[in-house]
Amino acid sequence: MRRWHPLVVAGVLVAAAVGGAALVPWLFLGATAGLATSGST
Amino acid sequence: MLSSPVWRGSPALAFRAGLLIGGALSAVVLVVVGSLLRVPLPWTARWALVAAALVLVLLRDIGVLRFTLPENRRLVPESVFRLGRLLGPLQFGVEMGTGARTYLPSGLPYVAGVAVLLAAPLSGALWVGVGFGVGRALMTTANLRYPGDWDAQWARYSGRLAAMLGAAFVVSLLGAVWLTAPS
Repeated sequence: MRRWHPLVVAGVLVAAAVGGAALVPWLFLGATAGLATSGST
Repeated sequence: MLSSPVWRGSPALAFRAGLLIGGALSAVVLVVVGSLLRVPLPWTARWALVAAALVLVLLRDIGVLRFTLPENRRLVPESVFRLGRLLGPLQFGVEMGTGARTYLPSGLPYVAGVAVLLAAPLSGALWVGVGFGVGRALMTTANLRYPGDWDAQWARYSGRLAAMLGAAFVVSLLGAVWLTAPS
C-alpha cells in the first residue's frame, strides 16, 4: 500500500493536473489547493 | 481522529460527500460576491490581481515574506458526530470542505479563492469547489490506506510536496487564464 504515500499521491495529482490543465483547469486548481492543506485534520 | 472506525464504509463516504458540498458552497459564495467586485475590472486587471496574490502567497510560503492570512485556527469540534453515524461525518466534511472552519497550512486555497472571486465563471467556480473537496478527500483516503504514519511522511517531505503541488497549481492557473481569455 505504499502507493498511498504522500509523494505518490501528489505525483499522480500533478501528472493529472499537467495533463488536464487545458481541459478542466479549475478542477485541478481546487484539487491541488485541497491536497496542499494536508495536515489540517 | 482519522484512526477511528467511523472512517470506514458509509460514514467515510458521507464525509467525502460533505467535503465536495462544502467546497462547492464556498466557491458559490465567492463567485456571487465576486460577480459584483469584478464588474469594473477588465480581464487583464483581474488576472493581474490573481497573479499578485499568487506571488505574495508563494513568497510567504517559502519564508521570504511574513504576514498572516485569515484562518480559523482550530479543529472542527468532535461534537459534530453527535448528529449521528452519517450526518455527523457529513457535517464534518462540509465544514472541512468549506476551508473556512479549520486550519489551512497552505496559501494555495487563498489564491484559488481570489481566482474564483475575480475570474471564474460559475461553472469554473463549482469545479474549483468540487476539486478542493476532492483534494481533501484524497488526503483522507491516502491517510487511511497508508500502512504507516502518513502525516509524518507528509511532514518529512513537506518541502518537496509543496513545490510539486505549487507547480501543478500554477499550471492549472495558466490553463484557467487560457480558458477565460477573450477571443
